[in-house]
Amino acid sequence: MKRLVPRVITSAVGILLILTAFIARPDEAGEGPWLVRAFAYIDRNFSVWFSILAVFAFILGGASLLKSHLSKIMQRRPDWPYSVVTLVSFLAVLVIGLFKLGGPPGLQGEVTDASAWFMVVFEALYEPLMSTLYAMLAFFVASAAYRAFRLRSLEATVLLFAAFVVMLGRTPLGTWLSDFLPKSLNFLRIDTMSMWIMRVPNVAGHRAVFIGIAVGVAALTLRVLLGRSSAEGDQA
Amino acid sequence: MSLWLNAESWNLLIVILAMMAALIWGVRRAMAGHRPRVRRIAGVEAMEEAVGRATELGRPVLYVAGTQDLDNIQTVASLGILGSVGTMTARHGCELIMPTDRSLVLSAAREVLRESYTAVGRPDAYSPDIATYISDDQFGFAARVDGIISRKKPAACFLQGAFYAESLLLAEAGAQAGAVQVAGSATSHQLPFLIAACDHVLIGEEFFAAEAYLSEDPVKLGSLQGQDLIKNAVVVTLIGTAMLVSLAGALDWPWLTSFKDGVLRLLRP
Amino acid sequence: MTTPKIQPDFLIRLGNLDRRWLYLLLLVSLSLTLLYSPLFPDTPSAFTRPIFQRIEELSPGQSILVSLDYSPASAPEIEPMAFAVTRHLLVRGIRPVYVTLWPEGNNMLQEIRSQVIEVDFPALEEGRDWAALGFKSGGPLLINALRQDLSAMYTGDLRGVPLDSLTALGGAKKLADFPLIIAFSGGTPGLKEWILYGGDPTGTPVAGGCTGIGTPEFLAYFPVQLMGLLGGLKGASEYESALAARYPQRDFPRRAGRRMGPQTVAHVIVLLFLVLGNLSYLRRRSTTSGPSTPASGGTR
Repeated sequence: MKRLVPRVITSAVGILLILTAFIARPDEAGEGPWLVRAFAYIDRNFSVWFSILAVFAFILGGASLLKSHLSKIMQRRPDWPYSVVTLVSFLAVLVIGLFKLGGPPGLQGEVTDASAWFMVVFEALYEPLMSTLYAMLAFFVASAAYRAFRLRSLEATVLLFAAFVVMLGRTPLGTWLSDFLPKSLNFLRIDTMSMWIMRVPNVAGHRAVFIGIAVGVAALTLRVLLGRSSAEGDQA
Repeated sequence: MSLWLNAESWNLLIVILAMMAALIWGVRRAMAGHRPRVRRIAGVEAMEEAVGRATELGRPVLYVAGTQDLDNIQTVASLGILGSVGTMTARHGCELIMPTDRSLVLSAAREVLRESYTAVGRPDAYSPDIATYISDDQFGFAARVDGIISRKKPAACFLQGAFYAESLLLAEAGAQAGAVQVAGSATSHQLPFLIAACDHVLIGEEFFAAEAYLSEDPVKLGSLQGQDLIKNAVVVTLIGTAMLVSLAGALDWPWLTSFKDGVLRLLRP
Repeated sequence: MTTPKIQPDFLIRLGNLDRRWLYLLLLVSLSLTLLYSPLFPDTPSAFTRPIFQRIEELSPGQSILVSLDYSPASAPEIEPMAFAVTRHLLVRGIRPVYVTLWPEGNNMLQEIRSQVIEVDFPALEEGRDWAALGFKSGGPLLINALRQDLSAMYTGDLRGVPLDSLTALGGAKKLADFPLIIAFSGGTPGLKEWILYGGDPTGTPVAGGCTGIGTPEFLAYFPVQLMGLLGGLKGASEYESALAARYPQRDFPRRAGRRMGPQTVAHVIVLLFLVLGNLSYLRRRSTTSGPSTPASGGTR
């Protein structure tokens, strides 16, 4: 029963939503056969219901966070002081945002107003932290590329050449380096070659990958709808 | 019938029904005993070796099921692979660490792992703390997982699922910790980073096929065969339509032009 | 007598370079270039030009939907393009209606309000000349709902003003009523969802901007499903250049143009180390027969 009920709900809702794409729409006045009106109602309101459910998922996530860190603190597991920091930060921002401290008064007051403490926390803490972690990618890309891009084979050589052309082509240096070329040799310009690589082989490869992924998604979706997916805990 | 059916999407309905028919054909064929032969996927085979290596070294295995929620099909596929990885770690007696960034994924992962450990007769080795919830925030999650990698020094890292900017943060941390890394994702713009930093990568459809490959379940293997049939049909349609459009433009025969227009109308979304 | 230790030559040792030297070189050169960033000229590419032309063709008073689907992490790349396009829309008298699929999008909207609208267009009135509907959860499901009826998800703007009172909407009741959708996307949900669920089913043209790494993926949709794409900082710089050439009297700031210097330096350093790494690899291959040993910065 524990697995059957979720599986039935998943299958029923999934099939219903797929069918809404193929059932006719009511006319401008909202009139039409009862089935058509029913499916239009489902299509219009399902998104709203999902948003309501998503709120519960947020609450569940917060509760999971509280539970795991509280138990870590109480059991004095390794690194428990960091859990204290996590919980204090979590609760502080929650209170600041929920009660809209510092900003326009009232529950309707805008939490993103410049005077709101929420925006202060966002701009002083969240923005720099996120930007820092994202910026680390620049260094990690450099070290990963330095470690991985070796001329081991013909394919690797072609890849390296393409990397050179595209990386230079995305900067003013690429344009400047090709400025000496006459118009008849425009196709040899770094920026031209870069655009060609992006528009032709890249798009061809991506479209092929997309088609493969779409087919894979369709197959897995069908298995989920029929209750034959391992993610539901069924080791079929 | 047109009262009920959306006149604009009849062609899409035909395509979907044809795809379903192909998938069901593959599954029924496999269940009747004609199991398809699946080509070797190096990344999938490397998983078992990596878990074995981790057991010998006495270091844990790290599994990250992507950074999206359960409504993302890649997460669903990843949980399927997690089941097989859980079976491997249970059998080898190796520690498994699975940080998650979504509460629903945490719940599903715990169910999958409990099933896996029980299936190989090691329910005692299972603990709910194998899978832990970190944070919904993308970089908060990545920072914590990087911390886990640098402290616990896993011998194997499996990054399977939908990743975004944090993919390289996770993969490079694993590479610097000396872990054998097997990644799999259908997020195409992250694949270059995973390929640069990981030892094996399951690209796109290989990632979805990995679950079938590992489980050897006839239903899943059969659906792989159905997928191949669909892809072959897509390739034939693409080439055929391109040739048809080119010929119709070059020859300018009225009947050929009408035929071309009809085919394009059928294929238009 | 001990055997003298033979040092591998310089090129081979270069292949085992500690990655921290690479990080240090990047840090120093990027810091210097950011401090003294010159402005580089740029020309719109075949991906950028269609967006500029399309906005130029719109009539003053028309409303278009703009989705800000990015966070502070990707803001350095996407914010310049969002600012440039907002300036273009407002200078043409077009009314942007801002929505977002990301929770942080409301804060990004606040940046547009405070750094663009209040600075460059102080006479414009929220609700009349532009609207901020803000964030609702659901991602593609939100787009699905908006496809049928804006009021299914939004009762009003961020200030609580009812939808019917927002003249900036120009009478639009659903997605298809907008002549254009522009989505700035730092990840998912974002531009892809707008293409698949918003633009394709309704026939509404979709244009967008994305981070540099997302550009190759989105080009697969260009030019039919995606009429134009601003790819990363380069795309933003191209758009700023086009805007400056078309409206030189406004002298709008060019953040992306000033960041092309640091981007060039970063790319050149990475390419330099790729060359050095490969020279080391080839040298090692010519002197030994076995596989190279991985080190902190060496081959795998």
